[in-house]
Amino acid sequence: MAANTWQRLLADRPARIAGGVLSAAAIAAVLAPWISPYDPTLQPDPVALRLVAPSWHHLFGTDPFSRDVLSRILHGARVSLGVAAGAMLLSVTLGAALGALAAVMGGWVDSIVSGLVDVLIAMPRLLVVIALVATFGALSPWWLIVLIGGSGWLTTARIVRAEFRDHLQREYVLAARALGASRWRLVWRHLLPAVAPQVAVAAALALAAVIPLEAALSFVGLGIQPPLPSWGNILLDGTDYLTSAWWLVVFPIAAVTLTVGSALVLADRLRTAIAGEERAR
Amino acid sequence: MTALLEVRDLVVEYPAAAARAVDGVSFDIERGETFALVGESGSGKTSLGRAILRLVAPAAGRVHFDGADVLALTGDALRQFRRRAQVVFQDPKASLDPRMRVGDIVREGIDIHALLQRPSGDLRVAHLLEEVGLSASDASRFPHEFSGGERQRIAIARALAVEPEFLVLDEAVSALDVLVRQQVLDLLAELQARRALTYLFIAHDLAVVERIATRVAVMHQGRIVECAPTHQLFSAPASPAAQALLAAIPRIPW
Repeated sequence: MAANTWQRLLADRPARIAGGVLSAAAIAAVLAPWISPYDPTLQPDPVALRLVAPSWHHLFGTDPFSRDVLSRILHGARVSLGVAAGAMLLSVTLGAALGALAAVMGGWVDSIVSGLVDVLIAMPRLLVVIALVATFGALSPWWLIVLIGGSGWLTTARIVRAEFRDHLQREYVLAARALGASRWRLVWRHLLPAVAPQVAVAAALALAAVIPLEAALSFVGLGIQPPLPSWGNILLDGTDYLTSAWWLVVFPIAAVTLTVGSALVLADRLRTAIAGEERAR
Repeated sequence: MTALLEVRDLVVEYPAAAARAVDGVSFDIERGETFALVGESGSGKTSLGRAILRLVAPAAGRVHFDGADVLALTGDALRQFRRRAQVVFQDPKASLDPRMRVGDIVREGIDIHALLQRPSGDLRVAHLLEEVGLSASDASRFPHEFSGGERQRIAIARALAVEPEFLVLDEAVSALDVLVRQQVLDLLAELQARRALTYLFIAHDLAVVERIATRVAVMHQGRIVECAPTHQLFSAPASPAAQALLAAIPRIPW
């Protein structure tokens, strides 16, 4: 039996590695309270343990407040990846739902959704989010999820709408309509399964966009507020010591790069798997 | 007895193309007959078939099925019509959902109309697969595991699952090679006899319909330019379009 998209993806080595990195990051984030060597907010000795270079006691060194950087990166993963995953889920769900609705309902529903997408997509996301944060003040992680997720559904909506409209013209959907299938049956039984791999690509790309977005907001001080660590504000703490304490900058950047890179590789390999399956049919 | 299907002055327009795919077409199909609709590609025959089944909305005209106004049907009456009128499309690759098992494809109509529960539904699917010349065990396989002719048999089984009276065969054998085409045509003739089916047989090739059609309508640029009993059309084609289609059939010179 020829493999479907998901089986193709599982058989692909780069995809497995990227998936492994993301899974490891997610597990580390979940387990952070148990696997962190130190309390991420504890300042044991701001004089003697200030800016200690990486060593066996502090694998990633310490920051200007004598806090353990590894522990802060691990707890930061909890916040950064948690916000990113939440925002990604929100934006992809919202985008898929609105894109599907526009394609299936057509008429004025389609006009409103498509019009909204066309207007909003012209706005630079980072600036919009910064403007909103500046208006409402510092935000809790939950509000950050709502804000980042709520501003990211546009591309998913576009993809899902276009894919749905394409599939609605295909003969297998016409055959189901001729059999009397309701709109919701078409959506659940035929269209969503057909579009699921494309939505997964959009989700991986959304994750790759959202991780740096949270980091950027926290880096400029508008995102996660200290002492709660996030990859962005750890980097912010390190900027004054760029020349003297490289570990403050290198590790949070590495964390962002590794996770974003993995998400991008996953999106790319998924696209290849989809193309491979289309060819096989 | 009135005709099973009456089509009057039907018009199908595609706003994007700013053109009339079907431009005022009228005809009747009697119960039990095979009415062939033949024309070169782009003549509007597929749009016509889809409009009759309410898969595209016509711009004007009337369609009556067993006396009921098809274009005005809603709710339960529309569901009932969808049971009685079914379709088989041209491309058996595109007309079967590649992500569904053959058994689920064939039983979709049974599920939609809640005709049978699980165990008896499975039995029904097995019978249908055997009726179209496949085996019951094929239910657990996927469409891509089958040849073009076999896939077309699956599409026929799916249509038959809801016990229709009327079948639109939209270029149903056009994508098949000659031998397989003849086998599927034989199957369709057999099913028609056994189940008292009425066919609207759409084709771009007159040769295909010669043996099975009772009457032939020739379409050209959205209109029916000629409609006659099959033997009459083949022996004395009146319109240039019919003559051109006849001339396109390869004949062995004796």
